[in-house]
Amino acid sequence: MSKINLNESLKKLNDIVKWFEGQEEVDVEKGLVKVKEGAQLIKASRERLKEVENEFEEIKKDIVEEDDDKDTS
Amino acid sequence: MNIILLQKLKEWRREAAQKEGVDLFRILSNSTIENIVGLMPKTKEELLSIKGIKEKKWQKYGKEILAITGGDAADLEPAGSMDDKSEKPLSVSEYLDLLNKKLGECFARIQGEISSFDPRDNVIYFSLKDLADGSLIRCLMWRRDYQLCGVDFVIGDEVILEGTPNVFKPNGGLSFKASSVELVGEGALKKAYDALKARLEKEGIFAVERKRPIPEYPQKIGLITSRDGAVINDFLTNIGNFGFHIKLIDSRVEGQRAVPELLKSIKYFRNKDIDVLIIIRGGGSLESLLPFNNEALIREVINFPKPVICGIGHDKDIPLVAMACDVAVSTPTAVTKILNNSWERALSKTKICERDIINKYQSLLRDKKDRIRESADIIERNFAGIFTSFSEVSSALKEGFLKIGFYIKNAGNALMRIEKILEANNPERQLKLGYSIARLNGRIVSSIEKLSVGETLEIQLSDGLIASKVNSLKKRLYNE
Repeated sequence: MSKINLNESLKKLNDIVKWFEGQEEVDVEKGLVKVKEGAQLIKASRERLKEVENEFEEIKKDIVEEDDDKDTS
Repeated sequence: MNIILLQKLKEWRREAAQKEGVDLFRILSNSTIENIVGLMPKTKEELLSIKGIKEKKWQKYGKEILAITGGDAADLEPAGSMDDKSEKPLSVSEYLDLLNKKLGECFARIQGEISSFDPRDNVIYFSLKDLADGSLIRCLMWRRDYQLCGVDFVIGDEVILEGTPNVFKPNGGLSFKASSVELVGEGALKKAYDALKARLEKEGIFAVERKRPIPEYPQKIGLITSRDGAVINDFLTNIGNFGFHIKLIDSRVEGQRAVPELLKSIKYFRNKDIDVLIIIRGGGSLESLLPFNNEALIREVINFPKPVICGIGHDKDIPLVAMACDVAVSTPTAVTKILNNSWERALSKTKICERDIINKYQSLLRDKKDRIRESADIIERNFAGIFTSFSEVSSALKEGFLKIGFYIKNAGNALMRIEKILEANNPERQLKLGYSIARLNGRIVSSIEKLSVGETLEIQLSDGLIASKVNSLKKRLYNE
């Protein structure tokens, strides 16, 4: 899964919505380009937001301890 | 790997940890033990070459380890035993060493009242008195440990110490070397809590401006809590499946001994790649939450490079760490809500944007469609006249064409008639019949009046010409 910046994607989506709102006279062709762009962003965001198993790892105590030794030595 | 040796070392470590009342890794880490098995050190130098064993560990455990690996210490070990009467006497120093070794195994947790207090640069000297019979033990504590515990001794305070006894060789005095101290009783704890709270408040530690926002879409989570208990389960059950990478350090979270563990755990995460640090534990009294009112811990949290979320249950008094951290809630589930929050919002934001974009484009298309229909109407209305007159014109034209056709036909008939007439009168036809045409100087001669004797005429027959000279002229009379 390619890493996408969700924040950036949502901002772009918002911009597209605003673009539609701000346009006095919307060009259908340009509008379609924006819709296509929006659809890609939504797809990518969905991909990122769909259920992804969490990874869980326990840091062993001795590793914590060794790390601490490093800090103090 | 020599499994038997590994087991022996681990067995020895377990016993040592039990004697000292500490965790296994505090004696030796797993990797250090594995290195010992791999290297099989037989001398002090060899042992010291192993990572994780420095002079301090050598002093404390070196001989025991070498005894297990079969090195030098196998001979050194019984430097004399207490019931060994046949051997030569021990020197005072040797005896005190032996004593201290044995005393080192007498880890204890003792409770009493501070009866004297003498802080020096690096060491705090004090004495602890038994409340019942006035028995007294002299104590000392490294200033570093003392400060870590966040307790300010006042004579008369009741405290619980943890540590081991030790004879100070230069004067033979026995002292209890405390590694940690905690105040006893809700009253004393509350007093200490209030004092520290007031001091930190004055310093601005709890100020809202200091709080850092939790980053949106946090993914890498550092988690510090006890592996056992409901808290970690609540956390893992309620955290959304957004692909979080959770790194847990299992730490004590109760009692004064939790402080160094918590500190080390936080320090461990300092230079690790995490988005947010989470510290959680279940609720408890002021006494059980003691570590979370520890000044050293509070300072570690506020100086942590990433935002820190605390989910610590509590009664009346909010733990000071919770007050100092960036976001504080009181349950692990509430912490998961914070972590899930931006992800869930993103999910609904995406849905809203999708709906908005589709709606807007659809309404744009509807709009355009309406306008196209409108334009079509206008065109139809405006050109209707043209179309009507066009059909008039076209039928007029049709009519015209028909007429023309009629004329053409008529004309054709007329021509044919003329042709027949012409055919009948064609001079060539006459020639074939035996008639001839006389020409004078190229002009047809139809009368003798224009002729004179001696002139040459050109006579045309059907198949050729005759040149003939006029001999005589004789006017024909019709009555002849």
